Amino acid sequence: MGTEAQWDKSESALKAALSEAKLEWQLQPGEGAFYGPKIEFSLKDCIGRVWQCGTLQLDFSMPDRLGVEYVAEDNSRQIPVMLHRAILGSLERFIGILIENYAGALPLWLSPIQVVILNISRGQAEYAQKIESQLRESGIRASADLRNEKITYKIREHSLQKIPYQIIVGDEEIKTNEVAVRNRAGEDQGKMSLQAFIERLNSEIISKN
Amino acid sequence: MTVVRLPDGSERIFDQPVSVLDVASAIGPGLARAAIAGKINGKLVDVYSSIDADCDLAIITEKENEGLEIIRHSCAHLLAHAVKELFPEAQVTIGPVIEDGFYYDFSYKRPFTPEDLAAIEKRMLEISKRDLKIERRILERTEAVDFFKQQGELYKAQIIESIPGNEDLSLYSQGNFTDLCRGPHVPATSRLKVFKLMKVAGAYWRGDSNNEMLQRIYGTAWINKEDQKNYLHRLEEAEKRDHRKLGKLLDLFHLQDEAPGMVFWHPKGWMLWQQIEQYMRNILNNNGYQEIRTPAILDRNLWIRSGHWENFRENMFSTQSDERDFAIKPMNCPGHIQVFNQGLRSYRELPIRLAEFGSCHRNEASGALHGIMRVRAFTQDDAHIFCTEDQIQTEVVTFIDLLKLVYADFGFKDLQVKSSFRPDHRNVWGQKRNGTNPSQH
Repeated sequence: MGTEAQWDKSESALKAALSEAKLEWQLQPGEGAFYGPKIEFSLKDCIGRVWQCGTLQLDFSMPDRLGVEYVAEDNSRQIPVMLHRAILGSLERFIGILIENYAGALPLWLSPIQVVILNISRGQAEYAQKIESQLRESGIRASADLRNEKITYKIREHSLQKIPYQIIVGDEEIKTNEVAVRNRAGEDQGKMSLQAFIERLNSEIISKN
Repeated sequence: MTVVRLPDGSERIFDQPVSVLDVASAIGPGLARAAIAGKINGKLVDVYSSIDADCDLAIITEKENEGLEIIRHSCAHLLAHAVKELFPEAQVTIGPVIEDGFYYDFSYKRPFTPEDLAAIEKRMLEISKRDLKIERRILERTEAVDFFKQQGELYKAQIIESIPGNEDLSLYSQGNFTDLCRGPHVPATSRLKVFKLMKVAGAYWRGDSNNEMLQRIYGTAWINKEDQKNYLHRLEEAEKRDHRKLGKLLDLFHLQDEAPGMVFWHPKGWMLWQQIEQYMRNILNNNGYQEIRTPAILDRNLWIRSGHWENFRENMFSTQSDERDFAIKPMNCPGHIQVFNQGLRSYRELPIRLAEFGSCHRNEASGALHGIMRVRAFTQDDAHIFCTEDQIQTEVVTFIDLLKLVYADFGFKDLQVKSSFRPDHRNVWGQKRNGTNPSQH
């Protein structure tokens, strides 16, 4: 499929594009598809494994087979070039790669639950719920754990769930109208106003770190 | 007189017949010691192979990927040799190279234990130290069958009987162990130094569950201890990170037997999915793509016209309705073309970029499925760009920039890129040049 001239032109376009994008690349000899040249993009995870995800495949065959055409400037009917392309590949597989790369501790912007609010005793349940709803109104995926369990038990459980941040609510925080924050590594992030914490979350979400 | 051309373009001339090893020795004693195999006119052979005509020759050492492959293959033989010494009743079957290592299937009355594995590995080291020469010989088919029957190796005899044709068969021997094998192999057992047996699993003879269950022993082999250490570390890390384990622990998804290779997403997993899909949707919207949605099931005739039915049929699920045959899409492209084809398109509209979170199904072999990494139902972040030849370069550059941005946002900075161009079927292309081959597929 494809005339010799088409192959020449598209191969040199791909080569020029790769050098314009300042990418180093390797040639896979003899692996080309009969219907057009291809570029494969692989990423390396944090333990050095390489995963092929992205592809860009030129196709001289299918547009012709399925009667694709457009009207050119000179009013003639022409067959367009078709580029198949994907960045992530399959979402299922990409999510698998993400889970393994981060060992489950996903960056804040991807975490299904971003913050859990834990009350120490029943007296702080209402305050914890208020914080939960304020976080949610700010677009943060928050969830309050009001179970009547020991606070150490709750902290441990949510750390194992790799939830990025935990807010621990005691009488002290209610009095000062603050939140005490710890991250999933167990590091104390100090006390701050809820507004300050939301700003901090938002800048972390935007940075995608 | 024989002329041997080396990969650097130089030539060596020999007056008498020589072996690959002789050529390596003539180049230098270091190379002779390092030689694992040879490549004569592109074909891998043993170092003892003789060269009887002018040829291109490359000496294969550990530095080449092929060298490591051969080491792994020879390790499979070493494993079988050790098992036969320790468990003479065991029968050998097959022992191929796999990614990062090798395995060998044995017929034995009971599964091998971890203690057996340790003993086998120890015996492999001993046999390696014996420095046995590994030699190839050719037998006629009937001779080979008789040989293995005499040895009590009935599986080997069966394998030979099922090889079509009357070609002669090659056997490899090291000490008193002989195996049927195409080869090539390392010159001597002492060349196998860095290996480790990993695990035992059951495997059916010829992969058929009606057959006898065999005992498969997996091993890994490397050219130096450092590489093996890194590999074992990587394996340990990978196990800790196994997405199937974490998917369960974090309550993200599950798979079950009623839907092989198809994922049940739980609320948290679907939340993660939605973050990714929304992120990609914004990226596409901001970069000149138009999102569409096309049917999952299309008339078989469309798949015949697109070429998928001819080339991809075995991987396609199909169904019927009103006496019409349908197939479930394994790819989105024919659907996207239907959208493009609605109405007459002008060059002024190009490039047209149609994107779909396209839900596809492929009937992959059940043995190839792996968690959510290798599945039968999946969703691609698929798009098709329809453009003119002159627009290819710009489109490709823009795509690459976008791809780099997306990977970096997900935390991946290290990228590897491979290109493949024209397939080198020179004859076909020669014909094409003369305009006589309008071949499709």
